[in-house]
Amino acid sequence: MSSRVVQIRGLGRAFGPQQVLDGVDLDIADGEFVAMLGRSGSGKSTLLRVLAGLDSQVTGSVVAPRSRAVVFQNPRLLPWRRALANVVFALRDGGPDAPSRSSRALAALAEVGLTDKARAWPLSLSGGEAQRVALARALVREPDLLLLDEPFGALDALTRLKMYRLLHELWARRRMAVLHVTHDVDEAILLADRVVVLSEGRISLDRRVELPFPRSRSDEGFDELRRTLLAELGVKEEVGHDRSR
Amino acid sequence: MTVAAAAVQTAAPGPELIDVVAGRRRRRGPWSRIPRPIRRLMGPVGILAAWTIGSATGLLNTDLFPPPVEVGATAWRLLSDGQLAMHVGASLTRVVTGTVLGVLIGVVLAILAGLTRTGEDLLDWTMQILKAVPNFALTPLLIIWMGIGEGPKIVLITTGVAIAIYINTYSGIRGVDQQLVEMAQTLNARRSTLITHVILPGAMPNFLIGLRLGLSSAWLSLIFAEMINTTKGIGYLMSRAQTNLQFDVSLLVIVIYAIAGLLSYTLVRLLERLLLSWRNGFEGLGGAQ
Repeated sequence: MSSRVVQIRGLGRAFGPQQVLDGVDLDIADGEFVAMLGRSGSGKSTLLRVLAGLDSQVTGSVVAPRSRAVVFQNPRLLPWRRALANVVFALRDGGPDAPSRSSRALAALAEVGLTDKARAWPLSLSGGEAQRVALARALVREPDLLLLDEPFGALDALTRLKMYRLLHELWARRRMAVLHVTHDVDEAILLADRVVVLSEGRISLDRRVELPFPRSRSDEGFDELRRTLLAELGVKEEVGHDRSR
Repeated sequence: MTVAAAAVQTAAPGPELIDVVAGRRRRRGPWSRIPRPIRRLMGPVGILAAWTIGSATGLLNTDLFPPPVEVGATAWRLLSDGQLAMHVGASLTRVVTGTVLGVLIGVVLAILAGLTRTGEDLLDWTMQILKAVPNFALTPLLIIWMGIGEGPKIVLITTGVAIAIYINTYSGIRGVDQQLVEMAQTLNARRSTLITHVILPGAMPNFLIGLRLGLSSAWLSLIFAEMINTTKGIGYLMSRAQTNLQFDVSLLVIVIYAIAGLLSYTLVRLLERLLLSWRNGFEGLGGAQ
């Protein structure tokens, strides 16, 4: 059906004696939303950094679109540029000519619902707003592959729910391929077409999410998939013990 | 008695409860009602008052320590015959020339050392060594090398400023958030963009600290520089006054140095407000209380 935009074969990355990635094979189709789960230190961020072009000390082969954009856990906005200028910054080199930059940046800010914050300084934005500016900065480049490195990890639970909806809308509208790295199983199931689990340096589970949109945690099949993924991650969900025993 | 209060009393043997806000709310005392500029002027005005009272009551020997009025009269005399303008002008020219050159040299060296490994290897130790050497120790050598014209005076001021600017700007460049650099890389930013949009703005707070230190070093260097054979400048005015036992002129020069220092400080504060407005953006240029 659709063509592959990411093709990773036998990817390996070692930090000293520690082999963090050890033969990862992963394909992502055009327009596909893939969530990658893994425990802390499982190498999922390393894999994302390789795809982002930030790490090339690797073995194996990695093919990805030329046009990629990253959203990190920390918004990484330039604090000395206002919100709009931070989005414009993404178009500076190799982008369109100056006059159309700012109209495109404004359009991107509008897409994430922050038109009224265009002139705000990053330090005056809330965590959710700053992350939306970062999202606008990534989208304004119209990437073929959007890389998300735990983008909602630092946000509170309520803001996070809003961000899920926003991200899904943006993806549904633009249909770029997405690799969303997270350690939140629910987040992965709510958003993704496909969930992969990275453990011991390779993909240990690759599961299509068949639930129709709009999704919610009460959907049939949600819980079962969730338990499967948690088991793959080596986690049991029960909290607390019976004290009377 | 209210229900809540009764509940607190009967709640024993629970932990002791206290009212955590009572008596801690900030009250605006008479001090905080005085406008800030006036509060700030109180220190200098106090010194002036103590000086006046000291002279008037005879606590200070007025021959060695003339009262402010007399110093003021001297200032007026030197001002009206054009001497003061000439000397202050000459000194100001030296400080400004030396500072501008020093800032340029310091920034260029800091960029070279901050951005390239080669630059760091070639420059950093040298600059750290120069920092360790009191540059006034160079004064006699500079006279031998460059004579007694404007040259050694400017060089003395320039080196002091350049070193202060270099040390701070360099550490500012090295301290730029690596996460921002990476972010720019993922956006395929050119090297020039990275420098002008990420690294230099990131080093700006440190640069301004360097500028503040550099300016005070410039005025300090000026005193030494103007001890070198010269017939112009406030340093000359000072040393001539010392030889002629004109204590009113000596005190006047000290006041001029004080004012110059205060103005330099104000200038840097102004630059900070303009260039670092993003730090407290939500308060705008009006600034924090």
